[in-house]
Amino acid sequence: MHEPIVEFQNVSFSYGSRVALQHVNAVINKGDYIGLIGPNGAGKTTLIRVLLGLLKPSSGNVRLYGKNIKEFKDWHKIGYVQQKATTFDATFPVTVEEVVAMGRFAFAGVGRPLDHHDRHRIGDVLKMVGLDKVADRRVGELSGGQQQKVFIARALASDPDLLILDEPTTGVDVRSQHEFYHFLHDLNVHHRLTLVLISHDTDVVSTHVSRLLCINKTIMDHGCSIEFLLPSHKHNDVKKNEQIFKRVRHKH
Amino acid sequence: MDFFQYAFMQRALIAGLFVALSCSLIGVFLVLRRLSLIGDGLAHIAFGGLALGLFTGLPPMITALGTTVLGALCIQWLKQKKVAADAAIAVIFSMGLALGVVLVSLARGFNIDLFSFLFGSILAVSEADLFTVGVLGVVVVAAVIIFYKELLYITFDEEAAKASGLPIGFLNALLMVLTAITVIVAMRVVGVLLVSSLIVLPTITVRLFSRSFKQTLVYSALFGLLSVFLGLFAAFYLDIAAGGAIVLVAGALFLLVSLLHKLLNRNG
Ligand SMILES: Nc1ncnc2c1ncn2[C@@H]1O[C@H](COP(=O)(O)OP(=O)(O)O)[C@@H](O)[C@H]1O
Ligand SMILES: [Mg+2]
Repeated sequence: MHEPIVEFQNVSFSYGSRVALQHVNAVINKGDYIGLIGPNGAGKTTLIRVLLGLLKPSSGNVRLYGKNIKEFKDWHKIGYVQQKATTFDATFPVTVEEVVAMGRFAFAGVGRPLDHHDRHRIGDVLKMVGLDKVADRRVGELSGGQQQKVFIARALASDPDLLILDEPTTGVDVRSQHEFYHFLHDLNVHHRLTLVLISHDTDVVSTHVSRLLCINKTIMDHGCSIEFLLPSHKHNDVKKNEQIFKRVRHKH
Repeated sequence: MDFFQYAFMQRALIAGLFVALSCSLIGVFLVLRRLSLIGDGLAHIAFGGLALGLFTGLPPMITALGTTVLGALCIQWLKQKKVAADAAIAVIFSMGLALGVVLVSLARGFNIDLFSFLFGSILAVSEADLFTVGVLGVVVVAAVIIFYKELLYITFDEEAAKASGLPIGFLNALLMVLTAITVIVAMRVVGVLLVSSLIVLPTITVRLFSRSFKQTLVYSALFGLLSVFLGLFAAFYLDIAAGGAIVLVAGALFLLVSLLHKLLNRNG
């Protein structure tokens, strides 16, 4: 039933002498919809960069799909939307379709152009995120919310099994956020994607995810303590947080 | 037209074709990655390599190619050691020039051949030069076509490219080596001091209006070809230095396109 696809085993990481992760132990199972939350600077982005092999842990192990990360080769299975993905050079000459196509490059292999099947998948994901009408536009011309969708579409184009989104809703208005969470729910339930949603905003995330992982250099074993959540948001109060955790616990 | 009847002019045109294509294609990746100055840095290394060849009696194109590729890999290595790109280029830049100057002083003075490499001498391209330029030019163009997807991905979003499993270290080194080769191809024609403008100008011209990456590559190649051929015509009929004429044409095209772009956008 529980099929672990990501295992962090006692993972620590430091930038020089600055400790960012300390003895992190966590498991992500297939089908999970995880909210990875913690205040700014808690090491959320660092943890994901370790998971993606972009940073090497100073100690501990990462296992992906049952394999040691060093032996893992199927990177297309993991889709990743970076924090601030949309802060690229807005004048860069590249169309929406060209960016989404990058998601297929891992399949195509060096020297082989994208084929009919690749084009088909690109068309599909463009429709899925509602960008098929603007496929030929330069990415820099789109609104922030649309650009966010472009990067999600790129991640989806590689047919991932696990989709990781690092603070995807920063700078997206509330109405679009609602639509966005609906879309993620659909991906999780109907397309059977495992999702990891990173946020420092417990409030919104906890109402959507099925499990919370709270991090502040290390994973909080007994869920997120109330004091831990307090400093991050102005409208957080103790009562509200208690309710949030009741809600999340209730779900699983 | 008498223009095409001279054998030296035919050789110049063929060499110009390879120079235009390799400079303008590599230029797209360099400009978009904000590495525009690398062409200039490597050209100075090439100068050191040329002086080495002229000093030792080895073929200068070959010594220049060797030192430039080495310099390119050094820049890449310095960048991986977290030296900022501009600082890495500056280091390589002056090392190449220093080597050249020392060798020239050892050889007691400037020799006429070295001068022709500084400012180009497309109208004096020999059969052997043409062969070297042709082979190297084909290598650059073929590599850009073969690695098109990968080079696009690292240019737009290196982090995501890395996360998707692309061999970033290899691709960055490849781009550096291709740049080094491009500098050597262009050196004979526009000269080491003018190489970087031929690398940068076509791309910044096309960026004014292009939407897609593919369009940027194709139009850059066209503007590169147009600059080289118009420059050669001008050099032939006005009896002026070909390298300088080519770069001035490329600059004029940039101004023309920005003016047109402004006018059209105002009306539309
Ligand atoms: N490239 C880096 N070099 C040095 N320190 C870094 C770097 N990136 C992040 N840090 C530090 O590591 C800690 C964790 O950062 P990060 O993982 O980005 O946190 P989060 O994503 O939770 O906001 C912070 O203290 C941050 O300042
Ligand atoms: Mg972060």
